[in-house]
Amino acid sequence: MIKLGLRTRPSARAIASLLALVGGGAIVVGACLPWMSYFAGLIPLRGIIGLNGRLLCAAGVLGVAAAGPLARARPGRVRHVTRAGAAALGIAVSAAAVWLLIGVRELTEGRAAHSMLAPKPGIGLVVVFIGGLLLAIEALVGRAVGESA
Amino acid sequence: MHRRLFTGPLLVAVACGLAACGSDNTNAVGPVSNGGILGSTPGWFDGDVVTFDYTAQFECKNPPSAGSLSHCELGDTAQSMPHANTAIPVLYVMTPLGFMPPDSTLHCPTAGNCVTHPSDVDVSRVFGPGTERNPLPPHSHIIIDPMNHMTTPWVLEVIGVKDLATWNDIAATENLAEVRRLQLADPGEQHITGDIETNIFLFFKVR
Repeated sequence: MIKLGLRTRPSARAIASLLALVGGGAIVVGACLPWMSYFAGLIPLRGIIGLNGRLLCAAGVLGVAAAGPLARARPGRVRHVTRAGAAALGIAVSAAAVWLLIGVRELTEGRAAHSMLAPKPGIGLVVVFIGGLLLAIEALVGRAVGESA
Repeated sequence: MHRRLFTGPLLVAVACGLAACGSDNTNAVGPVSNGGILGSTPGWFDGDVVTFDYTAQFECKNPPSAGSLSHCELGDTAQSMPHANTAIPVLYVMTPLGFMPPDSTLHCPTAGNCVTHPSDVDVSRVFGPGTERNPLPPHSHIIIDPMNHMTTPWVLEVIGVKDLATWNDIAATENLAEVRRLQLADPGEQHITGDIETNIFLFFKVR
C-alpha cells in the first residue's frame, strides 16, 4: 500500500507539471500564431505584433517555468505558491483570451470590419485560451495531490 | 464601437477606427452619377501599364451564406451583381504574401495611396498599443480587357504570390497569361495561389 502510494503521488505531481508545461507552451505558441488575418487568411496578423501578444507570450513563459518547481519542489510554501500562481496566471490568461476573442469578433464580423480587407479570425487566441485553461487545471491536479504529498 | 476595458496589463481601450460598413446589402455607394473621378491607380494590361480612374467607392454584395456583417467575403461569388451594361469583368488583385516586393512593382505600395482604400487599420482593440496604424497589405492589379475605356463595375479576384522570384516574373511580363502559366506549373500552390473569388466590386474606367 505504501509503495503504491509513493508511486501515485509523483505521478500526479508529474501530471500537474506537464499541464503547466503544455499550458504555458500553448500560450506562447498561441501568441505567435495569427489572431486574425486580412484577405480571408492571406495576410496573417500574429499576436506578437502588439503589446497584448507579447504580454501573453511572457505569461506563457512563466507557465512553462512553473513546471520545474511543480515537478521537483517538496510540499510546502514554494510549491503552494507556484501552484496558486500558475493557476491565477491561467485564469487571467483565459479571461484575457476571451476578451480578445470578443475583440476579434468585433473587428472581423461587426460593423467595424472593413469590407475591403475581408478580415477573418485566426486560431492563435483559441490556442492561448486552451493554454490558460490547462494552467488553471494544473492547480486542481496539484490540489488533488495535496500539499502533504 | 468604442469600448472601455478593465485596467490591467492586457487592457486595451481603443476605438475601432475601421471604416464602417453599412447595414444594408451593400456597404458603399454605387457609381457616381456625375462621372467624377475620385482618384487613379496604375494597372497591368497585356504587358503595358494603364491607368484606372475610379468613379465610386467599392461595393460589396452580400451572399446569403455570409455570416459576416461586413458583407464582403473572399472565396465566394456575389449572389447579386451591380448594374452593368455588359458582363462584369474581373480585376485580378496580385497580393505578395510574406515578402515585400519593390515599390516600383506595386500599384498600391501603401493602401493609403489607393483610391477607395483606407490608409491604415486600427487593430489595437485586439493587438494592443502600437498597432493603431497597422498598414494594409500592398498589391497590384491586372486586367485582361479595357472594356472600351468605359466606366463599369469590376469584380475582384485575389491571387496570392508567395515569393519574390514569382512576383518579379509577373511584374516583368505584366499580363495574366504569365500568371496563368505560373498557376498551371504550380498545382501545389507553393509559389502562387489560385484565383480567390470575392464579392467586392470596384468602379473605374481604363485610361
